[in-house]
This record gives sequence, C-alpha cells and structure tokens, in this order.
Amino acid sequence: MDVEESTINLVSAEGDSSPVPLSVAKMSELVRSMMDEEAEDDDVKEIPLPNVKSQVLHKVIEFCEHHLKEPMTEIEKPLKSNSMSDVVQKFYADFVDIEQVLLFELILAANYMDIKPLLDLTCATVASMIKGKTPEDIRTTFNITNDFSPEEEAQVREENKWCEEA
Amino acid sequence: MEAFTAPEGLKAASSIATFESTTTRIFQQDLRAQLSRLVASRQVHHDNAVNHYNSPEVVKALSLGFEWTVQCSYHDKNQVQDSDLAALTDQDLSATPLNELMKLLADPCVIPLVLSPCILQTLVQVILTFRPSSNATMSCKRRKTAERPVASQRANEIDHWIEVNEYLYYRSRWSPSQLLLLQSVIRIMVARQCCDDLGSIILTVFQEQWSGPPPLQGAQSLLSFIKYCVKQLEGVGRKGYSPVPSLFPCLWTLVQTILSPENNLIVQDRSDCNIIMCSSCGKYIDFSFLTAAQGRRKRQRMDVSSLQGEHPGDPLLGFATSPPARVLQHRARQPLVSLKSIMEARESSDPSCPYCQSKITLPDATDTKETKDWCRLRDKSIHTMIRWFQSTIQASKYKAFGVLRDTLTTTSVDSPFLRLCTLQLANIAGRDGYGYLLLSLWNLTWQLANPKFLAWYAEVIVESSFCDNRESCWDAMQPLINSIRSRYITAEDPQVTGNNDLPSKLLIPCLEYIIARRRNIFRVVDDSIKDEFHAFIQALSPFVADSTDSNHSTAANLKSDDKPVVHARESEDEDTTSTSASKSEPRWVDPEPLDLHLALQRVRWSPYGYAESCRIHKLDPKLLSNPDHDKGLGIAKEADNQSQRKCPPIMQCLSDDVMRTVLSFLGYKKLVRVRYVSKAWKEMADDDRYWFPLYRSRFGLRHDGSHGLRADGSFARGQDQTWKEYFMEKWIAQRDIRLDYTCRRQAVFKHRVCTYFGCFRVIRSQQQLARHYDLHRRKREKAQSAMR
Repeated sequence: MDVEESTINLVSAEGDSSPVPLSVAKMSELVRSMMDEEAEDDDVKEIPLPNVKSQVLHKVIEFCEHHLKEPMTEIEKPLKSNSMSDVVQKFYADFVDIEQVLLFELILAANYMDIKPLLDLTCATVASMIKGKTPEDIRTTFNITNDFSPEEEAQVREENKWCEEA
Repeated sequence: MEAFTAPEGLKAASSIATFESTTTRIFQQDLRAQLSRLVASRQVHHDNAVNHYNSPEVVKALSLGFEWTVQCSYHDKNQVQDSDLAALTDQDLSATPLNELMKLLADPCVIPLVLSPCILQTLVQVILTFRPSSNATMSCKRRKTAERPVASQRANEIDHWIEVNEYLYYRSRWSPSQLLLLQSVIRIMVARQCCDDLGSIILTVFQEQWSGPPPLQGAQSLLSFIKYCVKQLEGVGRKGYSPVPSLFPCLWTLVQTILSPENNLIVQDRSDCNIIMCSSCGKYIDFSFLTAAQGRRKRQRMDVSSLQGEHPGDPLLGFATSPPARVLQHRARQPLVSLKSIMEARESSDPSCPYCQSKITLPDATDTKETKDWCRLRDKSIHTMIRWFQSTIQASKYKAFGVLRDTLTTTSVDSPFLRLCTLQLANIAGRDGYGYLLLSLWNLTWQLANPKFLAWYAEVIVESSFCDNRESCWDAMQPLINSIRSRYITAEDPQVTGNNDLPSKLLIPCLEYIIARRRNIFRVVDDSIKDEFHAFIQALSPFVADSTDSNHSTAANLKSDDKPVVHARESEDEDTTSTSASKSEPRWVDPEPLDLHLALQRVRWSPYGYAESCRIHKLDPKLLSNPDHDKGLGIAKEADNQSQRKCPPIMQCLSDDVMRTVLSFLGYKKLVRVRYVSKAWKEMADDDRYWFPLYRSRFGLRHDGSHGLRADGSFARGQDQTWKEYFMEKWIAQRDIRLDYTCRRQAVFKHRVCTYFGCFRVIRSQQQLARHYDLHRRKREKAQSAMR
C-alpha cells in the first residue's frame, strides 16, 4: 500500500489530462462510482469526462480541492440574500463571480459529474441572480422571449393577485 | 438443532424484554435478533415439509411483535407503561393474522416511525410467502362458493370469509390483502430508504413461489406489485435518493419468464403489440422502435440518391447510394438487420422478417384471450422496465448503466430482447448517458471475449449518435475503427477467430448509416477529423475487399468478374475523397430543421429548451430562414463570433432538472413573480415539488388524520388540490388575521390560524387554543382507532 495519496487523471473533452488526488476526485459521485466499478482493477488511472471542457474542469477541480480544506456552508432554502457572499464563505462567493456562460457550463459539469455542493452553489448563484430582478430584467439577463399574449399576461396577473396585493 | 417455532421464540423474546428491561431499545434489538434467527432457520429447514413462514402463527407472532415495536416507538425514550403490556397480552389471537397486520400497516402514523430495515424485509418475506392455514383449506373444500356475509353476521364469520377467499385467490395469484400489505411495507421501506434488497427479495420469493414460469395471474400480480414499487421509488428518485439496482434484474427475470417458450408467444397482432417473434429464425422484431411518423421522416433523410444529383462531386454520397457490389453481396449474406428493413417490414402489408426474409404470419383471428393477456402483460412489463430505468437515469446515470452492465454480464442468454432493451435504453439515456453504455459495451466485448457486445456497440453508436455533436460520435467510432484497422479482433481474440467477417459485417452497416446521417454528425467537420475520416475511408476500402477475398472465397469466386470494378470504383472514390479533402471544401448539406428536431426528440434531448419543446411541432420560422441555426445546437457550442458573445437563452443551456434545482432556492414570493417571465417558467413555478416544502417549512405538517395526509406530502385518498393551492389558502387565512391583528396591538394573545392541515379556524385566546387542539387530537385518535 502506498503511503502517499494516489492520484487519478481526469481527461477533459479536449483530451487534456489533469492529475488529481483521489480524495478530491471522489467528490464527484460519477468518478466515485466509476472507481467503485473498477475497484478490483487497480490500473484505472484515467477517467474520461467527454462532456467537460478543460477550462471548466479546472474550475471544478479548484472547487473540489478547496472544499476539502474548507467545506462550504450548507446553502439555506429559500435564499436569504441576493448576494452570494452573505450565503457562503468568501472563496465560494468569488468562485462563482464569473461570466454567465462559464457559470452555466459549470452547472452542467456539476450535474454531469454529480457533485452536489458545486451544483448547489452554482444553482443558488443563478437563483440569486433571479431573486433581485423584475421579470423583465430576468428575461434580458437570461435571454428569454416573452411568449405571453396580453390576455394570458392579464390572467397571470389575476392568478398572482393573492400574494402581491398585500 | 431443532427449529424453534416462531411464536414461542417471539414470546420468549418479549418476556425476556419485559423482565430484564422495559426500555424500547433492548426489546427491539431482541426482536430483531429473533427475526434474523427465523430467517436463518427457514433457510436451514428449507426442504423440511413444514415451512415456518407459511404458518399463520408466524404471521400472528410477527404482527404482535410489530405492533409492540410500534407501540414502543410511540413512547420513544419513555418507559413502557404497564397498561401497554397488559393490552398486548390480551390481544385477541383468533383474528385473521394478515388482517391484523394490514390494519397496523394501514395506520398512517406508522410510516414515519423508526423501524429497522431487518424487520421490514422480514415482513416482506412473510407476506409474500404467506399461505392460508390448512384449516382454511379444509373449510374451503367444504364451502366451494363463499358468499360475502352481510355486515350483521358475526365478526368471526367475516374473518372466515376473508380466509377462505384468500385461499381461493392464492391458488392463482397473490391475494388482494397480501398486495395491500406489501404496498404498505414498500411505502415504509421507501420512506426509510432501506429498500436496497427489495429486488432480490422479490426475486427469491418469486422463484420459490412458482418454481418455474408463473401462471398468468401470478405474473400479473407480480407485475402490478413491481409497478407499484417503481412508482414509489420514482418519487424518491427525484429527491436524489439513489435508485435500487436490484430491481432491474428482477424485472428482467420477469420479462424473460413471460417470454419463455412455454407461453407460446410466437406471433402477435401488430396492432396491439409492437414486438413480434419471427417463427422461423426466432428473433424478436421490434416495431415500436420507430413510430410510423418518425419512420417516414427517417426514410426521407436516408434517401440519399436524390441528393446525389445536387452534389455530384461528393464521393461519400456515391458510396452510400450505390455501395460496391461486394459490399451489397456481403450484406445479403450477413443479415445484420437495419432499421430501414425493420421499417419496411412494418409498413408493408405483407411483411417479411428482416433477419431471415421468411414471411411473418399474422395472428389468427381466433387468438385465445389468454395469449392476448400474456402479450399485454409482456408489453406492460417492458414498459415498466424502461420506465424504471428512466427514473434510475434521472437519479444517477452512471449507476443506471452499471445496473445494465451487471445484467448484461450476468445474463448468459444471448437474447435479442436484451439487445433491444440496450438500444431502447441508449435512446432514453440520450446524449449524456449513452457514452457510458458505449464504454461498458466496449469493455465487455474484450472482457468476455464476446462479439455480441461488439455488435451492440456498433448499433448503439448508430442509434444514438446520429444527432450528436461530432466529437463524441467520433470518439465512439474511433476504437471500433482502430481495432478493425489493426485487425485486432482476428489477431488476438481466439473466441472471434471463427467470425473473420465480423468487422466488415459490423462496419458496413455502420458506415452506411454514418454516411447517410453524417450531415448531422459531421455537420461542421473539423479539418483534423475530416482528414482522419477520409484516411479511414481510404484505409477501409481495400480492407473490405481484402477480407472478402481471404475469408469468403466462395463469394469471391461467384462474383469474381465484379472484382476489378469494385476496386476501380473504390480507388476512384478514394481519389476524389482525397482530392476534395485537400483541394476544396466539400459542401456539407445541412439537415432539415424538422429532421433534426425529430431526431433530437427521439433521443429525448431538446436543444430548443423547455418552452420550445412544449410546441414541438410548430417550428420557429426564424430557424428555417437563419442559416446559422445550428449554432444553437449542442451544449458545447463554439463562441464563433466573439463580438456577439451574448448569453445563450438559459432554457437552452440548462435542462429542466437543473432549472428546477435553481428555482428551489427561491421563496414563495419570488416563485410567484417568476411566473411572469414566460409560459415555461410559469409551468415550472407551479410545481408541487417546491410548494410542498414551502408549505411544510412555513406552516408545519400537523394533521388529524382526516385528510389521509402522509409525511411525504402524498395523500391516502387522492389529492383534490395542488400544494400551491393549499399554501395559498393557509397563507390568505393568516394574512387576514395579521391585518386584523395590527389594528389592536394591545392584545396579549397573538391571534392565529390553527396550524392543522385543512383547518382555518381563527384562535383568539390561549384557552381556545388548548380546546381546539384537543379537538384535533381526539379526532386523530378516533381516526386511528377506526383504522384498527
């Protein structure tokens, strides 16, 4: 048995391989179950992640490494604040202060690799973006077209009356 | 060692517990120990004529023990009262034991209680193997027709009636009370998340019960039970609980049993049943694979001959429309069935088997009812299996494929049906999932030295990848191509040396499909991939001819005069391929948007997002006119135009599941506001999955049993309102009080609405609160006693 911790290579969509300590890689349920599957086969040192780009994978690894050192505080539901720095530690708030496209890719990677804290963090970030905005702002931020007809919109307004008139 | 009888064992346990300590924990441990000993003794004395589980005494004892546990749990941490002990010993032992158990389990208060997994699993075993006592058998013989007694008759007669009926039921299937009991246990097991062994328990019991294929009604009740499990587990699966891997093999065994030759399911009516077995070659043909509409659409896409006129310079089109004669000959000899031929068989009025070309005889009009029932059962079980798999995929894709892989490895039967499942599952898994399936199949091919998996591998690629992005498709093709190029199969694998034609057999249809569909796959081919692809085509062409020469000399002799032609055409193809690759960009034809749309629908992955998928058939007119429409396809998009780097629409990037996770972080006010954004958002924001937790965290979940509310938010008697509506009602009631209350701040007692579910009574004083809650408590006790 090796005394020092063994590493495993995660291979991104571009084919770049990044060596990662086993404990870090195992934060991903996907990697963990792949490792468990191949438990008897000690030679497995490479995990292909064809859906994750290198740039995103580096972010994911950065997150996992930090999470081992300083676990993220559980994010309360519903969110209490519009700013992520009120909800999680500074590192994590800075971690998700990124371009929207990258954030979405990070969400997809977290979902694909099944890393719950990362998925929570990124989804909560998107939720915090939604939280402080009017519906019109939400549409512009996320590039959504308003597909309601004026009548339908009036109906939604009617349905929402219960909570808004107070 | 003599097998101890169960009731004595349990009684002993309870008396020990009573004497030594009356605390809950020790008793529970003892009971558990006794139960596991029971299980062990059952295994030891398996061939003994007396099956311990089948005796009503065991059930009775267990129900006593079970009730005891429940009672202890009520008094959790407290000392057990003497009155409880008295009540327990004075139980009326003459009542039908299964009934006793049923009443206990039907109590909604039992579900959230802490029960050990061991007890629950033993319960399942007991219930499943329960057989009526010999007394019941005797009395049943006396009274062949058991009329339902009127309510005025004595209680013990009703019990007897139930017993007799259970016996009558047992002969063919599980009794309704058994099923009800099982369902209660499953509910508890699911709530306690201890159902990992569920599948294996069912399987063992299932095998013991019939020791062979079950009768029709037995299989029906088994399926309905499994369906129930799947439904229950589906609900939990969404909440992130890992799926139960053991259920898949269980379902698979059921399907196999149903398909066993003894059941004689040879030919079925095409209208009710989509899977037909060819009577001459014994292969299953799946007509459900393509629905008629999709089939027609696909045929259009595969009709490459019309495209040839438009693009005369494209050598690959030429290869696809008129393959070299040797290739055709090869295909005729090797009936690796193509989807096209299945489709043709489906659409023609006089179908022939795509595998062996023999005529498929349609069923006679005088099909027996039983055969039809079997067919329906088989279709249902397949659907259940696939549905379960789908929910497993939702919970964890990798685990789902692990399960499939286990089934593939452990199933020695080379069943075309399992292949079918693999393909369908690949379809369901869609874009994100089938990569693992490919990986598994590829590994299996070499691990088990079994070429069947290689064939499946090729099929899965063809089936799933045709609308995928080019990278993953190419990655999947690469190992296949490489191994064929290096003749890995023939050189190193002794098992496959007999099948020298295997590579070409697989490769030709593979290639054909890929070429026919490459407008989708290699839509925007990178230069590196394009070169590789062309190099591959070049490398392959002589290989196909070569392998035909060396291994199929008979075929080569027969058509030896074609040979130069083939070579000539191939070399011509190669030349033009290489020149077009090097000189000018070949014009890759963009797929029709509708084709793409249908293709994506087929793999259940919509790049157009939630909103668009709602109106799937009304295509966006912009899509048709915009030449860059494929920009929006695929998640790994290139930001081709840096200046236009605007955020892509959120619904196209994130799947519905992820969107739901995002919205789950919002409070109720924001959730209501978000409904203004778009129709899709409105629909998502109304989901009960957010509103139930919101209700629970805001108002709690106290209830008096009169609504049949369960701890997981479901209702015993069906729900007539959504959780959002419940939330609204309670919220509005509270708001009105708040408005009222602000007018008179001096009040000492804060006015409030009753927190019980479904009650909107306004409470204005401490005394009223006590009185009102007492009312609810009484109501609840009444409901519980009525249940007993």
